[in-house]
Amino acid sequence: MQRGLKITTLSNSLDFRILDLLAQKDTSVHRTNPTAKLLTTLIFIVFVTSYNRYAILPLIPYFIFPITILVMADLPTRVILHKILLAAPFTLFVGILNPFFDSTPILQLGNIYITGGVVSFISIFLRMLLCVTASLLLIATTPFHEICNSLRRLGIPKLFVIQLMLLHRYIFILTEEAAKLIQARSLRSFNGRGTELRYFIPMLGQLLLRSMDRAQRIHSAMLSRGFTGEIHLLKPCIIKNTDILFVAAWSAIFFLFHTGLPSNTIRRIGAFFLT
Amino acid sequence: MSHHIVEVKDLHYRYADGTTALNSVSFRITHGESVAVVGANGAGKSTLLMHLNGYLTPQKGQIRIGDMPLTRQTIAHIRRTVGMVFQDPDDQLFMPTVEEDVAFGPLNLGLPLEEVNARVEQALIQVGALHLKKRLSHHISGGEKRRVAIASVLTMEPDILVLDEPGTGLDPRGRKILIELLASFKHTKILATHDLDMAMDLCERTIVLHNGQIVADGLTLNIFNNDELLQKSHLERPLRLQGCPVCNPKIHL
Repeated sequence: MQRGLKITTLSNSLDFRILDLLAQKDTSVHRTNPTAKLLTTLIFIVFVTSYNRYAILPLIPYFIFPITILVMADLPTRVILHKILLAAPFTLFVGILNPFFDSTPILQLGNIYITGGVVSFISIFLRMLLCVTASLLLIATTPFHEICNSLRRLGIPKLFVIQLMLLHRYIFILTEEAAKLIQARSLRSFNGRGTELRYFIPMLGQLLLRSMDRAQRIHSAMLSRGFTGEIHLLKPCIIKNTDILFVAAWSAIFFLFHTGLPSNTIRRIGAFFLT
Repeated sequence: MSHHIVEVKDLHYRYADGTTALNSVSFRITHGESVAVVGANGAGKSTLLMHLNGYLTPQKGQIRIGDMPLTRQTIAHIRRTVGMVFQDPDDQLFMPTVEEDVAFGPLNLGLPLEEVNARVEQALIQVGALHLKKRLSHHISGGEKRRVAIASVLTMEPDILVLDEPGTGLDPRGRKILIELLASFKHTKILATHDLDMAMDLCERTIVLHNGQIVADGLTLNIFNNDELLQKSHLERPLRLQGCPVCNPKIHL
């Protein structure tokens, strides 16, 4: 019973269908041109990652962007937070050793010295939070295929875009097949027997073989409908003035954050709260 | 219009591991005919179908579609003439939305956008799936996927339809609707299936494959009444040709 529960939570958190459904809503953010949203998100990520490794306070103002989008697009905060948590372990692994390697104290709070490692770890975590949230919000406000079309329009090689598109189309089927394999195993394993690593490896191989078979069938389906390596777009790209305003306004705001004028103010406010 | 002919002559195919999948298969299907290809698992049905639109090329023998032999040079034309509906619609619907998937073929043919949109609309109406146009391919049900898969082939306006197990995964109602839909098509149809009742509904002619060879080719009703032949090729009479289990239970014991 408990094992069954584990499976359902696993497949629930891996179920990104909810993001597809959210992307079909109709709000001002959803109606914004996909290319405009993609560009803004990319600019946002460039700004957020451009700070030095000890930056914490200058990053804080950037939360305005995801929060505004979250509110304007009328998205359920819990669902988004849940998906962000999925990405959290990866960044934790990236930064987890920083506190051990970099032990120069760079900040003093009362009697406590804070080392550079801890500061850079927090900085990495904040950046992860900002970038992952911004990307997730892009996916939750824009149908995935529109993002792919925009990538294509921005000149990303079609090979990558097709990969991404097919990945999104078939990730659901792959997780379903994996869930079936796990279910088939758990139905025939008792007292934890049969769940050891040595059984896991052939299962993984099985999944790979199934995927390769499917890839071959999909390829033949593509060939039989005249595929020559080019994905043609059905819809022309319509750019409205509001779309240009969207990119320009947000870029201006990010630039203002970056020039340091507000970050001094924020440092002062931060210092006020910390001492 | 009179050239929708499928001709297979002495076709041989052997897989890399040495198993012979097709052994001297020959038949000729003429314009507007509807033919069922039946046989046990591993009899060679799928291998045969994969040859018909050039996914596999003959190792020995010849295939002619219309006036053209199937070769590397004619393959593009042949794929346009032969519309292939795959067994698993998930393999066929690889584009993100229903609309884009149905438009995939005509866009590859280089048709202008207005023509593509008109064809998409028309094909979706034909299979009764216009309301699914804007939906995501992985969000629709099995029966809906099957209909969209057929529409995605219809937009290419093929002369010949090849269907691999079209009834798989459909509920009884969905199966019946599919049979009615396929019956309404005027194309030359080739149907590989285990559903012999469906074969009886749709095809006046049946080809029986066994171990890669054609063991019978003739009128569907004659073949399905030939118990000796059916038994030899690991088949059973269609349910409708078996006795009524209520009036005469002993027949089925």
